[in-house]
Amino acid sequence: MTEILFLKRVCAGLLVLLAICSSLGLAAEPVRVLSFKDGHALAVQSQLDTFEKETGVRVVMDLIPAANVAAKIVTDQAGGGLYDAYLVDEPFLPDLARFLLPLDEWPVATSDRTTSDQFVSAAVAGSSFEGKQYGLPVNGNVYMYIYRRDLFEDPAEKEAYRKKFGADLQPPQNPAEFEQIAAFFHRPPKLFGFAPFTKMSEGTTVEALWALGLMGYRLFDEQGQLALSESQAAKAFETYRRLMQFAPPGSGSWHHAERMRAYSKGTVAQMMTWPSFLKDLEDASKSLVVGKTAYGQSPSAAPSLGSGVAGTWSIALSRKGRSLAGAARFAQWWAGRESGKSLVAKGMNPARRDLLSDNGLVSENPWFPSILKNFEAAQVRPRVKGYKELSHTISRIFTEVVTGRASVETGSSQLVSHLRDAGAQKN
Amino acid sequence: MNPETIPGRGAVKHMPWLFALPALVFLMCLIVYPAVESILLSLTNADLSMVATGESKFVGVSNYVALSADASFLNSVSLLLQFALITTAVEVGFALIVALCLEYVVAVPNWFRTALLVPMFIVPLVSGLTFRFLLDPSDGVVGEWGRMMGLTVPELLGDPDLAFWFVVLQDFWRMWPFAFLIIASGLKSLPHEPFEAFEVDGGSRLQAIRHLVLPLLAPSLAVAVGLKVVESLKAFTEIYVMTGGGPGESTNVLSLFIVQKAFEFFHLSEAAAAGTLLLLSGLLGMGVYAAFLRRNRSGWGSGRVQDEGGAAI
Repeated sequence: MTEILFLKRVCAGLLVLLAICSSLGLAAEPVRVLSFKDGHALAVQSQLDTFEKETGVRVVMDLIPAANVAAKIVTDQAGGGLYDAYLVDEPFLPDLARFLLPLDEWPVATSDRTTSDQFVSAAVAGSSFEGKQYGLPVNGNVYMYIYRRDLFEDPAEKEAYRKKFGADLQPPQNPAEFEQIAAFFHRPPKLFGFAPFTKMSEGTTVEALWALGLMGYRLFDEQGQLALSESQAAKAFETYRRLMQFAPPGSGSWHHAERMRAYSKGTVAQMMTWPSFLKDLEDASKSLVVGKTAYGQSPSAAPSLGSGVAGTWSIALSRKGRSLAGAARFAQWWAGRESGKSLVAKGMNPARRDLLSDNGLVSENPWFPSILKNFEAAQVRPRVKGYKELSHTISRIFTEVVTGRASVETGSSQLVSHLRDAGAQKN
Repeated sequence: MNPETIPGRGAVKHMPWLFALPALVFLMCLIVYPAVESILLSLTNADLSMVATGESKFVGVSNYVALSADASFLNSVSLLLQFALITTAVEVGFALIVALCLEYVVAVPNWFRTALLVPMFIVPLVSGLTFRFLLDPSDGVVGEWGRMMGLTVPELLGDPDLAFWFVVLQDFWRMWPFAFLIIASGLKSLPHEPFEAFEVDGGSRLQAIRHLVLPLLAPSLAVAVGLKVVESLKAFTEIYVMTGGGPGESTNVLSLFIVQKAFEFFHLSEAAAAGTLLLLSGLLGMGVYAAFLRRNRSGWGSGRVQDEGGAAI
């Protein structure tokens, strides 16, 4: 009897426990967000308590490596959809758009809706596919030109440049001037005129797009038709190969880390980079060129087209989300002006016009005006499904040609052929 | 008493299956079912997003035909075969030499033999990352040594002509002790009588190794080669963290090709087709290997040895 009584009590206790757990489960589900992990996302994560206090919406963020986000989104969708919102990188939007809720279908009152005109147009383009916007840009990146102001403003350097080239030493406006400046500052082993990006990755695709933009060329036109010819590709490759002559030795397989390290050590006069790396250049513990960097517009033979490449991360809602109202509110908060101000302090580079032109923020982030200018003439990466495979091909061809492992003719021919196939698939 | 009439004999008869059931369930769920699913997937046009929407359709062997014309796939197969053959030959060969030296030439304490095995306990991820950092020309030890000697160390993992060999070097460093363990165990288990007889007949140590040890060691060598080939075919983690398959596609072995196809390019069905081909070639190889072992086991088991003319002693 005693044993039976004990068992009854255990069962009763378990039932009570089950009831408690169930009631906890029935409490409002949090908004689940999938994001890449970096300083920006960590900064947002640190403010989730504040957001919950202000709005009553609880948010849980899962942070994973950026390279895994796209695949994780797809497997999440295949598994029924755990997340309400995703952070989507621009190149993957065409492949993922089918899983995302267009912005105009978000469960937000019209009067509260964030409008696209608050963001730079290239960032909006990066959040859009086939005429529909699928997310709000939260992290505005654009490939921009940086140079050593101390060298460019040095009277002796200016005089020497004028004597040699008959022109003023100033940030280049076109490829010829870029190459001229690279040659002028090529003084190995202490100073080099250019720092390339040559390690096969998405970064070399961007570098290839920049090289083409430098010459005033594009891969596809606005109607999605192939715009690049073999001769144009060949000219861009040849120009980049010449620039490689002014790069530090061993730069045939350089990624961001190597390039930024060379610039931080003061051995590079000019290069292209992403704004997310600029704060470290002004950190005395990481850089020998504190206060010596100026920020310019990426040069191009066709200034109206520009050569900068935009890279926008957007927060988008999942069609399968269960807490879409809360997710929409969170997305608008993340992309909003006030939260943006505090996130800029933690290293975020905004895509909002008002933040990029805010005087207070500009004084602490002097590259913001340059970001805004570069964004206005930036190109977005090709909006095609299967972009990653196309990017892999562009990256492979570019690295093989610029490092001399393939001829310019072969690379140009292969590049245009692959672009033609990609364009055919798209259409 | 008639055994057929012993009560409970039926249950006893099926007992082995009951004990094996958990392992069988495990095999079915984690190996057989995924393999069958993968083969079925390879016969469709599914990409990763279609898995979510169920839009895929049957396309027969189109993926296999596409792979046969895919230069990247053919390159990855070639790299995998090269990797398997080179690492097997080098590791087993080196392990054999070391094992023979430690058994017949140099007397070493047991702790030394144990210390030699340490690298094989290092997980591939750690090994790959360690080599990547060591070989970094700017911040790695190799780069630093080079600068101390006044040399400019090139991008060893960034050079498509060199990266593959450093991946092989990493595998050699980590896995040769595995072959050594098998071969050394085999040496320890060899019978002493043939050697005593050989010494009495005036044979030299080198002759004993050539005519006695190596034939008797053949089964162990076969096991070492077989296991090493299987392990090489599975190589992924260490190559992924060292080079990511690059530079270009110079270290993009088949396993990396499959992951790239599935999770970067989202071409799930093509990745499944490549995986199926890898599975089938592995099974075929194992079948050939098993047949070879069966055919030669009787000869090895008898301890038969030969003189210089090939006649049995």
